Amino acid sequence: MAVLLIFIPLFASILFLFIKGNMGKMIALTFSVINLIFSIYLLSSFDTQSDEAFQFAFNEPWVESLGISFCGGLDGISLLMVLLTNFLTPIIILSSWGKTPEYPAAFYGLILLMQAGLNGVFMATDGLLFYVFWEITLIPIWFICAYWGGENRIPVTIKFFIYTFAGSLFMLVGLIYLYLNTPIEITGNHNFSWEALQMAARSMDAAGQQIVFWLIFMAFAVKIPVFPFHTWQPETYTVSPAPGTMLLSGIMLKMGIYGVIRWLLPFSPDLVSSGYNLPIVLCIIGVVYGGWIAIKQTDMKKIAAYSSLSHVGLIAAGIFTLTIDGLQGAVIQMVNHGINIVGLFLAIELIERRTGTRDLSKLGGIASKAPKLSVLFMIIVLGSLAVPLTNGFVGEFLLLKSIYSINIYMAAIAGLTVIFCAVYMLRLYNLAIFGDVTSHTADMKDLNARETILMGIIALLVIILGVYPQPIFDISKQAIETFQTTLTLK
Amino acid sequence: MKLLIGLSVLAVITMMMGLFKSRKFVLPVVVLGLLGLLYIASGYGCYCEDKMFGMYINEHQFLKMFDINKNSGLVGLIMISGLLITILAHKGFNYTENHRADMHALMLFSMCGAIIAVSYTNMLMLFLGIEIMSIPLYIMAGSNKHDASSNESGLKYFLLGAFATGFLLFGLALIYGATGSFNINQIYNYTHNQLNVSEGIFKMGVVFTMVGLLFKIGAAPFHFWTPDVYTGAPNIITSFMSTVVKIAGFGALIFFFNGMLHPLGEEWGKTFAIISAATMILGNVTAVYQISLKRMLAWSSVAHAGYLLMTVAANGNNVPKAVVLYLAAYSLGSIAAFAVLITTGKENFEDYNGLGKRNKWLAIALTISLLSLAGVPPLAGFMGKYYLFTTVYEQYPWLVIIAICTSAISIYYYLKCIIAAWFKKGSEDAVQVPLTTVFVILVCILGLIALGLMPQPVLDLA
Repeated sequence: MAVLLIFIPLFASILFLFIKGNMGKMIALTFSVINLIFSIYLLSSFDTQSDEAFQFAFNEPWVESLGISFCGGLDGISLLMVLLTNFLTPIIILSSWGKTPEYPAAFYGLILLMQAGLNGVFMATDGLLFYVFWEITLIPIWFICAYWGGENRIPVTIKFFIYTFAGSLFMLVGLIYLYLNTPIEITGNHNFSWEALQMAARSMDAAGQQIVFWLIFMAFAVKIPVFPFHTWQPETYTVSPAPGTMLLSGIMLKMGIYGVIRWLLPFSPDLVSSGYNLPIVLCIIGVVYGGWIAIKQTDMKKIAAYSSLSHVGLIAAGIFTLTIDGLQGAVIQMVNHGINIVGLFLAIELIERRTGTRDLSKLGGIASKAPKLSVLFMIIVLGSLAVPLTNGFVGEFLLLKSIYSINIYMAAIAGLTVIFCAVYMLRLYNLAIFGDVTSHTADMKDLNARETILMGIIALLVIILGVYPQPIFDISKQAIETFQTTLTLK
Repeated sequence: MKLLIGLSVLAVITMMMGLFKSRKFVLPVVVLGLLGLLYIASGYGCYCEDKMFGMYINEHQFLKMFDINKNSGLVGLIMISGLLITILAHKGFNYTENHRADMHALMLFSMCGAIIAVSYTNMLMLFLGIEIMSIPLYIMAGSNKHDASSNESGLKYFLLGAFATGFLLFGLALIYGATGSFNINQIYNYTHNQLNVSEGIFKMGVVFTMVGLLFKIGAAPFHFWTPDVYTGAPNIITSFMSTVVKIAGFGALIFFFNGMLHPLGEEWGKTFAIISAATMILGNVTAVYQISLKRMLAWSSVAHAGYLLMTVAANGNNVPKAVVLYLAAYSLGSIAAFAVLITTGKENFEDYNGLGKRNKWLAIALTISLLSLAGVPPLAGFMGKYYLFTTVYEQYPWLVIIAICTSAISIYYYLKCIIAAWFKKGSEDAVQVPLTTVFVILVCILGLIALGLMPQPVLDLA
């Protein structure tokens, strides 16, 4: 039944081939809201105490002679990701209403195709099916960024495509390597299912696990992105149209982190549990590096892009510590970062739409012109600053705690993220919102009703999840405990 | 056997129709004929051939020389590709209006040769098949008489092809000298017993044959003719060369090496691995620098030959399956791309600027076919590549790593064309697509999607 989450948007995106004109945005919103309602229904019938590895599971044979099946399901972590995807998609669609893109039918069709792919990624429990969905998401986002993007978009998006495509191919080889090590079944074939691949990984020696780890790591490292595979990211975020940036930063990047939890760590258990620190070091370099560069930027979108690099580095580092805290923090921070970064890019987009610029040196005095925007923006900024009682705090606290339990120096360096973040975020907010009114902001209008609702929803979530994050812990608890037993977390 | 006889008779009839100037009926007759033959081939036709012309097959030396049943997958692929290209020729042969019938006949003869080349059980038939396939091609490549590059293409192909044929024949003769037989079963036994394998004359023969066959499939270092010949030849002929001929070449190659010389895999596997790596790198890297879609497709066909050669090198049990699946994906993708090329009649990337505005569906078709060639899931090209990698990985992991690196390069030049079609501004005149071409493109695109989602039937065929 959960499979409908993939097929509703997929069907809708095919429908968009035949739709012309402005009808598109209503239809897109309708389908994405249907999907949201459906995923909330799944949430309500999700059993947080269940012993099953995956609930709402579906399993159909696909290519039997290759050991591939169309199977998937939801555990706590993937349910949260699916919820995030289906919550953010209508928000992203709505955010584009104010400035309807050229060829709206194609645009919204691609967003829905993307949604289908993302839901598939988070639900798949078959290695090749996961890979197929993983790649399916790349095509629509590339078209969105390359067609509706800004200046210099073509070389930038080609770089993005080749980077991620190459990374994914390494993952494919890694999965094939595991697949060839799975036991041969009665049908005479190997098996591509998640459980079988995990078994295969267990039977491998350290050298084999190391190969698998690095091959699969490539794909996720590019997507997350982890230093030094990040070079595509800031440019791509900057040239993409706002909805594209939100999809990339809000959801697509979570694919990488989710991938690490589901498809990387269980496939190299001995390696990672024996205190393998290199990935953590890479992630922490990204944390500091992203934060440092963000301080120097004047383009608001670039600041948000580098801040994302910095935040996500911390999430990934937390996961690689393999502690319960790190994992729990990562899961909660994945959700919160998705909400915050989309809010951030939304606010930037709204300011750019009104003033025609994202350059901090040309902005100022928005507080007096657009108080509603300023207040809601403030809440979102505080959220990404991880101020207590906002959603960013819980996750970041757990993540830093987990790194501390591994190595105190690393924790100290990673802790810089909090300071850096305060510097660049407050600088951004200060320069844009306060100060003298400039020629660009002189006749700026405040938010209209639709935009207020959009920003309001996000700001509300920032506060609610900050004050009461318990539901996220409840949903993901069982999944993380299962993970603990399989990986023997410390 | 009925298939071959039918095909030859159809070719002769087509030729006669040219004589009587009944131009309009040529295409329907050829298409109906091919459909009928496909029916025969798919149904019972191939499987009840104990008796023919009142003779039992195993009594007659000639009929024992090939066996169409043994690789129905490749034969079917040749027939389907040939059929699609024939339909495409409705527009594709516009440049030689007066010789339509002749060209169709030549194409049918060439298909006969291709079928023989993938179903030989006797090396004599391998040679004859390759020749029957090639000689009409030399004519077809040069068939646009008023175009200098077409003439160049025909001449170049003929001279180099004749040279390669020499190698092939010499190689076969040497193998005969060493083993005393043309029959592949006997040669298999000879190599299986490992008696006098180290004999220089046998090895020389294998190497010469290898050169001849590698030339036909355009693998490095014998690929130099490919770009010039492919670019010079009329579009429709290029599509024929890059699909049907390639299928036949690979069929011949895998039955020679992975079939007949299977026991000696250790000795020739490494050579193929190196040739395959060189072909992949060379084809992909050079394709990046092309500014013409047609030339880019020519180089990409070299690159694809490299991928396919990986399986030959791996020499496992799944080689025919992997090759058939990959060739099916490759052929459908190529034919769709060439169909777009033939429709617009333009070769440079610049001419494709703004194709999305001129004809949305054509641009979608081009995008899907190129993405499939690049190996993006869930299209057929991905399944082909995936199966290839699984087949090869155990023996040559480094070859797979080279393959994925070159795949990453290849996405660049395929994207370049897609970008031209969608993101660049160009002329805005709508493109008219004839109904026949629409049909071909539709079949190819649906095939690419269906094969990507359900590759099982093709795997069962092989």
